[in-house]
Amino acid sequence: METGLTVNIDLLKRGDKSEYEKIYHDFSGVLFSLSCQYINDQMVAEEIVQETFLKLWEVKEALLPGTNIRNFLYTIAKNHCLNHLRDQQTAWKHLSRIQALEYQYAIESLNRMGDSYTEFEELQKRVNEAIAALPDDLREVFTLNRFEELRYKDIAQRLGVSEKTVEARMSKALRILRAELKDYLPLLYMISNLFF
Amino acid sequence: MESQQILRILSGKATEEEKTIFYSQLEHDPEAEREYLSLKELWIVSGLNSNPTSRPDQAESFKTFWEKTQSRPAAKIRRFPRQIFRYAAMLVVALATGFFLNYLIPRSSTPFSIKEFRSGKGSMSTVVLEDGSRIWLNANTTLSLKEKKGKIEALLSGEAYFEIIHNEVREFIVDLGKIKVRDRGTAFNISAYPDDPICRTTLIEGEVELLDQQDRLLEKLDIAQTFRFENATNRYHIENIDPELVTGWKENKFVFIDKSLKEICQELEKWYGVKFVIEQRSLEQEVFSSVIRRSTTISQVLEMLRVTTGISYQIEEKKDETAIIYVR
Repeated sequence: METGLTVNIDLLKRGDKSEYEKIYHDFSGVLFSLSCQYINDQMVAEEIVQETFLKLWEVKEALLPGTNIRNFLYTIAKNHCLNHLRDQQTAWKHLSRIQALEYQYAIESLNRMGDSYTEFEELQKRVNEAIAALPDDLREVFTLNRFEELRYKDIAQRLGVSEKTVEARMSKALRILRAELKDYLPLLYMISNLFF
Repeated sequence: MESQQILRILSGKATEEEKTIFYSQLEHDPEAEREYLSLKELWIVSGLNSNPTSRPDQAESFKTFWEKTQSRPAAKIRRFPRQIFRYAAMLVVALATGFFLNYLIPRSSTPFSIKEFRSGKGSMSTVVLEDGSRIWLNANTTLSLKEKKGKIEALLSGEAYFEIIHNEVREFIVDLGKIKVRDRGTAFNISAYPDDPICRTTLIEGEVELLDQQDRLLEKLDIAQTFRFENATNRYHIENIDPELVTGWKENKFVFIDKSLKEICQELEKWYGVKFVIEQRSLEQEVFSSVIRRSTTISQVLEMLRVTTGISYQIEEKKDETAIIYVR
């Protein structure tokens, strides 16, 4: 993802509509997609996006020149997601151990995500490089599923292979990516581990 | 750990049984845990590539956001400078855990000194009066405020929590049709839904008086007392109650303590805008307890009920996007 967009803090401070529209257009999709993946509820994810931008609106007058707006928005959205997941975990604690564990791991996973969007982007860059370096048949399946959100069934149809094959390729792609990124993923883990 | 197994977990395809096996395993194996978390990270990051800038409702989403900004910051809205209840702000409570909020918009057709506020199904809102008094509206509630000669009269249909700053020179009265509630500097909760045969006024702090339509004093409440009024018979009595149970809704929670399944379903109907049909009559009066965050989705609530109470349910979705839930 390119981050060529520059944000004019002065215009944000003044509440300039088109400047907000610009940053909203540029970044709300990323936040929505991130929230959706952790929360699995589009309505809640949408609400989190709205609340995140409203926070920016509320504090706009105190923005310092040079503030990285993306980092700011990313942190707010991440915290909203964490709060939501924690609420869910508490609610499920006494009802279903497995459900509560699932939330617990979601929280841990999200906690490990970089504390700033800059850090997150860095990881994304590496992941994309690793995906680009996958063997053709694996890359094809992986990107159709993860980028274009196609189901195994549709991928199988499109490529004229069985669903089992699609699943096997996905699994293999994941294994390769994991190995390629092994120096990078555990590193993040150790950094964020200090904060728990 | 099998990568095929992890893949099924990551992609949400795992069955309950697979999940149970998987997560139980993780819990006792730090190495597997670390491995899983790394893969999850990889999975999430790779999923963010799906060109998120082309979200279908993005323009609509921005519009909603922009409209919300126009009622914030609160302090700048001063539209009725001569009235006591110039609204310093109409705040919509955005409880961090996200659920849809409806705006409370004064209806433009009403006369100058009457303001009407509504919260729809599945939403909750607050109104802040100029003197700092604050009123929370539960789902499906209408409140109109009428000011005349140093007196504010509130008409309520639904449920609201009032935190009224006492003022010797202006009275604050809630009119519930057959009875009225007069504030003496208080916080109190009133539940008066039209389809509920009983209306309940609970004192949380300070003092309130219950009056009949001729303004004759019926009762004064002590803290943590509820005045239960039966509309059909005009009978009433006072009972002691744990205030937390009454005001849980305000904290964004459903609190069901020893509630019958019927009552629980009624409450869920109001919030989620669905309809419940309890097929087995004997279930209606069965009593359950539960605390549920309102941000929880209806399907999760049903799952929770199923797990804790053993009831089963079936959802029938209708064309108009409402749903009937059969409980048996």
